[in-house]
Amino acid sequence: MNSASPFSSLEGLGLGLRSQHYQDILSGQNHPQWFEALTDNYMGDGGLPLQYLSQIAERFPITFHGIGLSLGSLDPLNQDYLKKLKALVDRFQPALVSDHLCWTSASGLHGHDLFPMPYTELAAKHIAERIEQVQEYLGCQILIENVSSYLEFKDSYLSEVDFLCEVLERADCLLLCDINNIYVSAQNHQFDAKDYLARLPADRVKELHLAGFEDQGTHLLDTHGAPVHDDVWKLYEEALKRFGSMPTLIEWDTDIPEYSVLLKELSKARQYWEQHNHHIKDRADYVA
Amino acid sequence: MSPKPESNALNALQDKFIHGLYQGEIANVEALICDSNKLSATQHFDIYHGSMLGNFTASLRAVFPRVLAALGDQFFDALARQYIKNHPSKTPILDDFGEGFPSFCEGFKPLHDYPYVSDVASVDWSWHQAFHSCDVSAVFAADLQNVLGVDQANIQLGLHPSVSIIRSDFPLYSLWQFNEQENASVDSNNGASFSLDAPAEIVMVWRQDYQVCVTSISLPVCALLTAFDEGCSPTQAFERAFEQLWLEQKMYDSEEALAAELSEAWSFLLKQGALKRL
Ligand SMILES: [Fe+2]
Repeated sequence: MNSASPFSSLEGLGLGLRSQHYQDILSGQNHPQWFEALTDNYMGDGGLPLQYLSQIAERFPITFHGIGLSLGSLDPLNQDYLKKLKALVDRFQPALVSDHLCWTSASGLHGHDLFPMPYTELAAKHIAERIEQVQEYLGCQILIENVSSYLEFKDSYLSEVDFLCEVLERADCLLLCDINNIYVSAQNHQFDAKDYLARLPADRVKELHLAGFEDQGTHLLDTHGAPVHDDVWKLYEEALKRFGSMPTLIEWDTDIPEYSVLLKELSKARQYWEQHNHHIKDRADYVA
Repeated sequence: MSPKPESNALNALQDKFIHGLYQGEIANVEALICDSNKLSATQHFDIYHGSMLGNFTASLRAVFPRVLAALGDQFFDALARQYIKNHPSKTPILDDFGEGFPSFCEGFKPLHDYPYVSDVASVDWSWHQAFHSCDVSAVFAADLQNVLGVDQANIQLGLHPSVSIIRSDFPLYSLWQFNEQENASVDSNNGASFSLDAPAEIVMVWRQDYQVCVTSISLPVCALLTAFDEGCSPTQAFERAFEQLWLEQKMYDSEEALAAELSEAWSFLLKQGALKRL
């Protein structure tokens, strides 16, 4: 299987593409290096969303991020969805294509939310087989993103990170590592986020996500509707040390603010990037 | 294809969980979920149940803004909840979830006093469909004159893929426009707001380039559109529309008057870009 990219390669900091910002993106000056489009929003036959996407794809590298594959489901893969996804991939040639380590549908019913798997060998085998089918169909490797979760199934006997590593290995797929999701799940289920990071296979990580959560008292809720939390920035620093200057996305999905607010988050991420690069350079100079 | 036997446990877990979510019922799911220090299994489940209702309701609110305006937040959300429970999503794309909403509104008892709401919902849904419909060039009057010369009476035309026609017993276009205002209230007893007793209107929704348009159309326009949709050539469409309106409607003073209206309807369709070449 080819590595991620039969397409262009990806570098630097990206923003989640949201319809509220189409005009800002096409008219403004200050921009991220790439945009991530939510694939499920562009599955119509035509119209304005696809028109904007093609204008933006002419100017910037784009990645595709979806939730509809329902990779962990026991239902057959939805052929209509796969076909539409492939048509979009063929048309726009995204640098990366990703979906989630979860299931969103069962028994023909769709929940449109990211439900965690029971973390078992059997479930790992199942989801890996499905990922392989998708990769086969699309003709490229896909990235799987770790999700925020709010419950644990009694059937689980593997840790989330062991389950994830098992799936990556079995499916020979890549990892979209969401730093915020690790933090949220670690808080909700009392595991060590740094240890999780340390155990991920660095060579499979191709993209990082940053987003904001909401503290509900009893649990953290991954709303993607707030600035990135300080503790998540700290974990991001760890991730940069571990994975190098990895393409990083700022995601904001609810209560979407003005474009300038997102650019501010982006410049914060850039500071961490530059600090990291200085650190690397200093060390290199020292060794030299 | 049924799952392999060793997948039965996983299948049962997912089946119970998704049905539990739709029914808002923890009974069959509780045994599958761990309690934690801070939350019981039920509370863990409720986080997903709440977020699912929130996502679905937000999606319906976005696709049916005029229904939302007509009913207000509380009534709309209650209606959405019932729709979600009774019409689980069968598609991976959340955007498609509202397809059955207009007909659900029609049969929903608490909406008995708001009989026009399902028609308003149909216009909203048609707007949504037109917005995402295929990019196809429409036929305009100039295209027929310049390109087709004398053969235009027999050219094959069909409806532009963005076109929907919504027939209603109510002044639907006026209603739809009226509900553009926030907190609009429709009350047939209150002359100050809006009267449902005004004449019935037929609504057409379509797209010009990337702009979705909504307007009321005349009976002749509707009759021509229906004929084109059934595969008629322009000549056949005129004949069929004429026959239908003259015999069924019996509202035209003379054949000439009807012919004039049909010719006006034809010009309207070619001006608005509601047709495409087949
Ligand atoms: Fe993410």
